Amino acid sequence: MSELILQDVQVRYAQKIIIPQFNLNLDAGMIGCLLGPSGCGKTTLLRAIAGFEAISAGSIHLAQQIISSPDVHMPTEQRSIGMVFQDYALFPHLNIAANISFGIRHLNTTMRQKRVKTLLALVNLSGYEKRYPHELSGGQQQRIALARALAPRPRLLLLDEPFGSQDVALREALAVEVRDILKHEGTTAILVTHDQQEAFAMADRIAVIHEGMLQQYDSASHLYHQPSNTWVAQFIGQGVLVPAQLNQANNLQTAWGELPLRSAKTFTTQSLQILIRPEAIQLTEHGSFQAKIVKKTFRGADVLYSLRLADQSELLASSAEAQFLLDQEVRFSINTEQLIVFEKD
Amino acid sequence: MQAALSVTAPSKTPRLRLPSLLSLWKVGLISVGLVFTLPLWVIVSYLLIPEDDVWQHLAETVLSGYLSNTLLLSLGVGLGVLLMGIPAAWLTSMCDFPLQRFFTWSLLLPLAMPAYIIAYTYTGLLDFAGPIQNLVRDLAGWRYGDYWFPEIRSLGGAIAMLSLVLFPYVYLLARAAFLEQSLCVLEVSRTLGCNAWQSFYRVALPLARPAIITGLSLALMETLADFGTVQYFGVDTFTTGIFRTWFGLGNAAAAAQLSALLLGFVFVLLVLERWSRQRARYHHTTNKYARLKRYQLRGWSAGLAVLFCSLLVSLGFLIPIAQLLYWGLFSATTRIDGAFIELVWHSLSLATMAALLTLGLALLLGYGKRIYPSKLLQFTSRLAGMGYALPGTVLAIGLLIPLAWLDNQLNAGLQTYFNRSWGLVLSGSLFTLLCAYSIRFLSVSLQTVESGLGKIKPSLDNAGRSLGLKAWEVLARIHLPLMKASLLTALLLVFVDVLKELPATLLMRPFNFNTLAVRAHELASDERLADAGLPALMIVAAGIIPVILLSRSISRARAGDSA
Repeated sequence: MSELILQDVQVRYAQKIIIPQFNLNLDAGMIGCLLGPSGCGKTTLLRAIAGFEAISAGSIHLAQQIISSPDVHMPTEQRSIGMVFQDYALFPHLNIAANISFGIRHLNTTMRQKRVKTLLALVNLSGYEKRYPHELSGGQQQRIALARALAPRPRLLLLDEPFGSQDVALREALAVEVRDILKHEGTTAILVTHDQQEAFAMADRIAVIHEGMLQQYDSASHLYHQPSNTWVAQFIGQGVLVPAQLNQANNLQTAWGELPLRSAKTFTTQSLQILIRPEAIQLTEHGSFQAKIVKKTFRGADVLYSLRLADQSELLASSAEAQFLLDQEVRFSINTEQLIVFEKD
Repeated sequence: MQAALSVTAPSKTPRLRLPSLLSLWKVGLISVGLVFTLPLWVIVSYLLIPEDDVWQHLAETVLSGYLSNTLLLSLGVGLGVLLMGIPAAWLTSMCDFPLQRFFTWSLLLPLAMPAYIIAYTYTGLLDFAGPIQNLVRDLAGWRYGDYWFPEIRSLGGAIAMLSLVLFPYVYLLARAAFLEQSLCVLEVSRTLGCNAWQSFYRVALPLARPAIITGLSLALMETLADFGTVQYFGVDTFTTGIFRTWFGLGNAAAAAQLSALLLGFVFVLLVLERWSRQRARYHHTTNKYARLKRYQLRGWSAGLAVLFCSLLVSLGFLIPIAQLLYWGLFSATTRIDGAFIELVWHSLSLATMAALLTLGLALLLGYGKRIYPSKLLQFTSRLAGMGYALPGTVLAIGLLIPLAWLDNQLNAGLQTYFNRSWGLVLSGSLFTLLCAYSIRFLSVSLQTVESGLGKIKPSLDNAGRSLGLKAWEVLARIHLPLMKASLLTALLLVFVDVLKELPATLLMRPFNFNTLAVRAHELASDERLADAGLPALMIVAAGIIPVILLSRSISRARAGDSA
């Protein structure tokens, strides 16, 4: 049975419904992620799980115990849920050792010191016991915040945009580091973020949320390769949605050419949409389609080209080759294995 | 000129073509610094002059009483303001209960009430002839001596009076600290197993401690400086002792030495205050503020909160003001006549002059520091800004001693060469009194001016200069419009402080020159409490103005608060 179960959870502020009805399961030891643009309700959900917000319908179970429902509201401090905040929220009046041992006062001194020592070693900050938070860098503060939250061995750890204050360049590396720590401790955790790279680097299962609704709950690669709807398709990764008609020959007819349908799905309508990711397009002289390059963005490992087609619509193409120039006429082919087809909604 | 130019920071100093004016400014600043610290030097120097017999006499007779009373008073008031101020701050900043918004600002009202005035009102209410004891006697059928009733004119009474009007210092600073705390640190303590009460005393309270200590030390400075209350209640402390030694015994040296002792206490508080202000920086948690979610109080807890806050507001303001109104409107034997109008005129003109003088000095120092950011100026303005810590009595002694000496020297000289007398022009004039006021209240207007100036970014100056304005035009066309509100506030605050000031005025006023505060004190001392009502009422009414300003500014600056 799952460690955390959200069942038909509804959250409202006064009359405004933020989360209409939300379902989610997370197994013990797994790292889940609530991913979505800002304002989608992911932080509200996290706060409901932590017990900072009451829920107006449904229930939340943690380790087979009901912790939230319209009738039950276990106080935060009894839930055994740890939390890491975006601004770390270290206690500035306490040194690092006291910060970490804040939540384990029930242990005796020896045990406490041992736990602090273990955790400091785990987050790679051994010897920092006597320092104060303001003496630490942002990254160090964050690792201390993690150690503090892990100290009481919470049944569930919540991370609220934990890398939001970090340099973009550092985020992914940190996310991997934190994942290793959580896996080492065997902690069940939920991460909230709007950054998919972070989510991919850290989470086992990702819940994509839009306007308070769960769009898809899946692994990173499934989200990318098998998005369940067009919103997820556009939110995750890059790509362009192209309208198409299913013609007599069971091919996809677009405004600029015909593509074979390789999907096993059956459709109830002829009006479809195709998601074409940049890597599905190859720029090659032998390609069957023609376009003009209107934009070129160097991305390091590859170059992202914007292609303008005969009907003035645009596609994105990524290529390791940088020799194509702006305004150059190119030919391209499409790897139809990688196309994702949706019914028009 | 060479020297003046060498101190200027080459990059930041605007090109002023009048270096002589600048060095004049500098000389002015340094002399302000010297004059402003003159009383301090005078008092401290008396510590170095051994006057064994005086000291011996003091030590044998009154000193231990002064010492123990002052200490007990400080201890009691300290405890009182903490017990009133901290819960009030926590309730109004973190909890929701009926009338919470009303209490947020009305808890500041006791600040408008000078301690000596609240002492008069409670004496009127609670002493033997007062309405409360009358009621008790009528109800129980007792007579004099049949029952025990707490004596208001006592050390305990003084502690109660001072605590009731000084707790807003702690309230104000603790409240600001609670509001400034990131909600996250409180929430994180909940996720680590603290309940609401534990997260208050393990996280919120320690985090607010520097601010609370600052508020406490301000309240204690006022306690040490208080003269009116303890004198009226007959509690012998250092301030009354200094006053008596100076006036009664005419012993300047002993008065100065007592003052030096009192300054020792003040110094401890000053160090405490500075230290805690510095620590507050490290206790700042975040610049991100979550929406404040207040604890909803219901039932008996809400009732208790309302009861607590309304007790503070009533005892510290409403009841005394009702008593004053009653006296002023119904039972005073004196009416508003020529003498009273003269009294008002004296007070208003004196307060206005002092406010203007102080503002001028504050501008001089504030701009000096801005244009001329040298160490010397920093030091000068810091010294000049410490006058608030000088008790009025000490300040008066420290000024009167050197000025009287100067008067005597001048008179002797005049007598010798011109056979004329100069009189007590320096030591007994309004000018001296104005000097004393500006020394004591400069920090008030300096702080306001500096915070106003701080909001004007240097880039605005540069923009003005780049658009062709001269330095004074920058002042007139950019700074002045932007500073108008701060300048007005600075004027107002000093104006009201001067109106309320008692001991320095009492000691330094020209012969037979009365102000509202002095008159209220005289009438109350003559057991004419009802007649003291009218002047007291006017002082309190004026005192409400800065409280309104303050309450407006705190309700505006509420980070992370939901509307």
